[in-house]
Amino acid sequence: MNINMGDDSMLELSPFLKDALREIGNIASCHAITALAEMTGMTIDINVPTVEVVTIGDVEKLVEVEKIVAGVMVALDGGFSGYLLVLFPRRSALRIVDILMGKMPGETKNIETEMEQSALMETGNILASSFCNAIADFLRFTLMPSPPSFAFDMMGAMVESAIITVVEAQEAEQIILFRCDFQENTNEIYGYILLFPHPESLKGLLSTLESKVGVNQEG
Amino acid sequence: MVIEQSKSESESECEVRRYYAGIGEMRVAHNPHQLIIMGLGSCIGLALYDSHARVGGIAHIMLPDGKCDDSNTGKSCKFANRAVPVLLNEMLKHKARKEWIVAKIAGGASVFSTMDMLQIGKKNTIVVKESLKKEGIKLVAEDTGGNCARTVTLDTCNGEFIVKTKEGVKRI
Repeated sequence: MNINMGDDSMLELSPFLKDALREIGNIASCHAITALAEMTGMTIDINVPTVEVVTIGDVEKLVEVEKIVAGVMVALDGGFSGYLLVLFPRRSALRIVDILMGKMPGETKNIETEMEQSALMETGNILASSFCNAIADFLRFTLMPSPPSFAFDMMGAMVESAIITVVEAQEAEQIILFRCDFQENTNEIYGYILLFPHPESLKGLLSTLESKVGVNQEG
Repeated sequence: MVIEQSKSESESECEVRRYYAGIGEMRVAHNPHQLIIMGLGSCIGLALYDSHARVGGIAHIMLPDGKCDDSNTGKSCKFANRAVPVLLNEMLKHKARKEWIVAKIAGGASVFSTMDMLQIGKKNTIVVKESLKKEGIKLVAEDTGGNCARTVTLDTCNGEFIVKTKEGVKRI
């Protein structure tokens, strides 16, 4: 078995699946960031993504819990299921609104009006959709994002929302976290893509991968 | 599960330490230390405080009820229906007395409001309140619901529960 949910509900990812998730996530993140680069006309670099199995009590040590971010969450369904979060720290969020609404840099002071929220929600939605499309094209299955949900608040609470829904379904002590950070080269825009897949749903992904690469990794 | 204790008996001269509870965890400490939970969304921050012994405890509760038994994993504060007795027991071990203990709660928000079909925050709040009633613990203050994330601090000097949101700071 590549995904073990034992009696003690410990979660294990085989090296094959971990690498595969990171690579698929990497391809998808590149597509999402290309979309962001086109929208903003900026050069944006992505960092090397990570895939980790994290105990839920520790997950808040991996993110800056109290940092105020603009976050867009979509639920994924299809080839696998889970939650995708696209997060922009406050300053980057303000800059994106400036750019999209044709304002001078620094003109947007807060994320309050419906217009500002909508601009960010749409940015997150475009990134999430590009992310899903890239995976769906690559693996030739459907991966559908739900309508986006927007919040401007503490990063920890947003991560918590995603974890709760994943854990609720699995009764698991651990979650799988894919993370990819990206930044504009003068550091005006910084952001994170976080993916929390439902561990059970990765079995479908795994069989798709195995038939695609033509190897059987089952031990 | 980590139980923190002040080493020094001369409390006034003791350095104030901060202890953090992650999701599903609890912390217990004596005066003058502080117990903190950061970034509560739909989770509940439960604070129990004994003003005589000046012992406080917090639990970071995630879901209303658990279907499976997780008592052996040391994460027994994950579920609202079990967290109250578990935290209470731990406090009693630290010289707190049940008749002196009062409760304060915060959290249970709905951060992504359009995606909160399950209303977990609301359910969490209800189950924690029921559980407190069952144990005979008086709920003296609460700051629950809404759409704002919260960071809470229990000050074991005076039992003050400090609730911080992006809007500002409240002391309950």
